[in-house]
Amino acid sequence: MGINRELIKGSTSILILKLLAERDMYGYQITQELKTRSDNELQLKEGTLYPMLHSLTEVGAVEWYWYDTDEGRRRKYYKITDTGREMLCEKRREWKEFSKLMNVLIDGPEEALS
Amino acid sequence: MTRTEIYLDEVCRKIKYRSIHKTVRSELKLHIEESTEELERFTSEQNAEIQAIHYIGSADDVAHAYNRYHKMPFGSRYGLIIWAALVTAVFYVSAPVFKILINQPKNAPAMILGLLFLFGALNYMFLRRAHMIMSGRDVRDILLGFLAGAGASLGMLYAASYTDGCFGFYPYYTNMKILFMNSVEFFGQPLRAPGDELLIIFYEVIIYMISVKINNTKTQFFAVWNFQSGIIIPDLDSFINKKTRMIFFDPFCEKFLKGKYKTEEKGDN
Repeated sequence: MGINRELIKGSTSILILKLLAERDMYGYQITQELKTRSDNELQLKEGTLYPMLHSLTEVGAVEWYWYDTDEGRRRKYYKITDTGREMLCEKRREWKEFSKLMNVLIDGPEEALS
Repeated sequence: MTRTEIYLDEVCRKIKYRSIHKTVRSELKLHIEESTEELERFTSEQNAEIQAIHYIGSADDVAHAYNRYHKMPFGSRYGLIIWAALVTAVFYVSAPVFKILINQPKNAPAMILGLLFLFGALNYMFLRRAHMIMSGRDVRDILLGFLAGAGASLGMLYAASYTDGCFGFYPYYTNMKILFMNSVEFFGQPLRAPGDELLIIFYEVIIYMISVKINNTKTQFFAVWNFQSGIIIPDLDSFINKKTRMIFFDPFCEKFLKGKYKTEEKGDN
């Protein structure tokens, strides 16, 4: 059972930044990595990743460069910048606060702490 | 024509901002090729391509995601043409105001520059929401918009002047010929820069370029207003974290807010 797409929408950028913080990646690789890590639970429409990468590039969180592979394929690699790393820290903090709050609201304060 | 090509055509047809069509084509095509190659290990080439396209999402979904980010002015694929046409019309229709201002003693240049700046700032605020990229296609759209706007406003003005009985003169300012290849009078002398109609195009292109350029930097600007009932700040978090530059229209409000958050910061430490 996949996770509701509406829930994923707001948090895609943090996932992309997290992956890019580990190493430079190209678009297809990002989508596959997300699928593998989430055990196929995260059903993101692959085409919607690119507008997100456009916005991250525009705010200076991500940069891109072309890389020619040995098999003669051209790939557009994305790379996180210092601004992107700062943004990731900030978004991580926000996410933690948000999920803590949601847990308290949904499960009640006692269960959320246990 | 391959399935991928048909799919890419459909996506691009639905993306309103035409300047990114080439980029979208290239990134989606590369993605489908990679995906197809991977899927070919488990199925036929034809099925792999179908599946790769299925995974990337329907043309509607993908185009919607691009449209949500690259918004065109007026929500139309002809947004820039409409915008340039309107700006041009404003100049042609309001030319008598400039004539009156230019013939004022002393403060006239400052007033005209101020008006141009304010009008430019308004247009900048409008265009920066579009998330455009610098492109020749956009400039071509602005030129088309200029021609459309000039044609429409001049047609309207000449028609109005004809019905008014003073053909060729502004219907609401009879001392002035309609500004089309005509000079503006400056203290009785005709004032005309060669190709001054081109200045309108130049003005529009400059606003477009500033909107694209500033939008592509991380600093955002917000105007802060102080209405009697309270202070309105569009993005308080960015203000506190000093990520956004605020333009204050009220010195009291600026002093109050800066003092308040400075104290809180000290308190936190």
